Amino acid sequence: MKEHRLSPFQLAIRNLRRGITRTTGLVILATLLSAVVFGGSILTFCLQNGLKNMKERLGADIMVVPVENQSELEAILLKGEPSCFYFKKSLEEKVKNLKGVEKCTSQFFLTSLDAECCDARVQLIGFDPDTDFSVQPWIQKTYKERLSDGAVIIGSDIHLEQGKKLKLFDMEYDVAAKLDKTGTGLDQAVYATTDTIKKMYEAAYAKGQRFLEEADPDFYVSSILIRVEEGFDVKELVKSIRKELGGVQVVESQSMITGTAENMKQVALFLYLFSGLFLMTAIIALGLAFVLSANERKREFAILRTLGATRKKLAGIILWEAGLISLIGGIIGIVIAAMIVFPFHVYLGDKLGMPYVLPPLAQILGTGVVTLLVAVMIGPLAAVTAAIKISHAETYLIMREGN
Amino acid sequence: MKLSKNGILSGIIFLVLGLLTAIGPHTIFAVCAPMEKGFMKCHWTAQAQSGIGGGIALLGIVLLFLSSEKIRIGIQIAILTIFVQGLLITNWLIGVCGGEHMKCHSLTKPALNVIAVAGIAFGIVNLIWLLRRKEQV
Repeated sequence: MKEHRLSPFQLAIRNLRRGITRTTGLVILATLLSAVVFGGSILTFCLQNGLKNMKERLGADIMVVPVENQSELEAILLKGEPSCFYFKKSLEEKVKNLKGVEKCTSQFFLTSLDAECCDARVQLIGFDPDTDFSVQPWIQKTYKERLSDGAVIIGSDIHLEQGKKLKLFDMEYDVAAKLDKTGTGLDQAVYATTDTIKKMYEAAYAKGQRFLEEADPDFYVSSILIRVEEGFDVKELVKSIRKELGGVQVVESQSMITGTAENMKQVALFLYLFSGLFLMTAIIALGLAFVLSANERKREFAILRTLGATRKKLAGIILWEAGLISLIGGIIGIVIAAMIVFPFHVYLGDKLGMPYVLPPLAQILGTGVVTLLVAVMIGPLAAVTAAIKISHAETYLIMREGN
Repeated sequence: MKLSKNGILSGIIFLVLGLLTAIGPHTIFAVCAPMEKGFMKCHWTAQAQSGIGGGIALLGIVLLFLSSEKIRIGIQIAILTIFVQGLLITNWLIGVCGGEHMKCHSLTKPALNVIAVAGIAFGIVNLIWLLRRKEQV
């Protein structure tokens, strides 16, 4: 008969299959661990990416809106909740002449109707192509030409049913380009020149849609965007604007970014703490489970020892068992977390109310590999005590126990 | 009547997934509320999924009480086909609203897809297991 020697790896597989209940319990623990670590890491990266994009996207240092509409502006920028508000266009001229203003432009907001182009209402933003410094540099990443009248540019989250036309207030507009994702509410906006927005406004007016009384785009704007001269104190300019213009709210981009970054830090801290605590709990629980199971299986290992297995081989069996459990649990955990964080990423971003963009594929794959390595290492690490204990046990004494 | 462990396990899993598919789009991951102009297409997807999920749940119950492996294999193939149909309805045949941030698009659609993919994955693995066991017998 051909001699067949079982390696520690083969013995470990047989042991795992034989003790299926124990194996299932330990695999579930490893699964939870890798799901928490992988899911938490991806969520943190999404928030970091979103914040980075938001910083790049907000081209203005200061935004001026009607006094009661700061929260609406933030809702447009962060959550994509459409709204429109207006003040007199003449204020733009006053701002332009203030000391410290390098560039100044205005935007006009409209909202589409429900179930029109995109099923839900979307924000329509009109910009002046001659003075704009906020929208156009960003548009030029995907569309190099000057945006013609009658054409629109859509945010990355605007869905076109068919073709390249967008229907708004019963009129069709050519879609010149779709912008890259930023993770901010501006992904749900449609951009057009002020002339096109005027046409939309007239079409809406003809359809009976009233946004606000006397909101004629020739005389009213929704926001004034300002770029401050280099070296000039932003706070100083904010003071001058407040002094010069009454009834307006001055929003500093930096304070908005800082506020968002603070919120993001708190979420990330919670995720790190949760993952850390879970990691520690899993190591302790797995360690205890391996020690207890090694104690229960003392006689089994003693028999293997009398059959000629070396101490190293016994330790090898325990470490292989732990490694395999961690590997299986690690893979299942990553798959489960991936089935939550990727398909539901839009919903998660909306619920968090912060800029949220999925990291690039390479970073996702890297995170998966690192998570798997951590999970695979933790099992054998937790089983070291059990492996040492079992390999140092005296076979004779164990065999006599219970006799 | 002799019940099989595999029949009970797969029956319970399909029953739960079927109920989630049938009830979920109206409750825990509900589609958008009707608008002034009436129902949007996500409503009709939810209605279709009630039928799909109900069918899967019913077949799941049947699996619980069947001992014949041949019949269980047949029923599992039927369940897999219904899950694929569910995927087609959610993503192509009817679909959901276009707006990426609308509840049906960001929550109902991924939830139904995840349930269907999980059901298909489990169904395929279990089917392979049943077929291999049958060959061994």
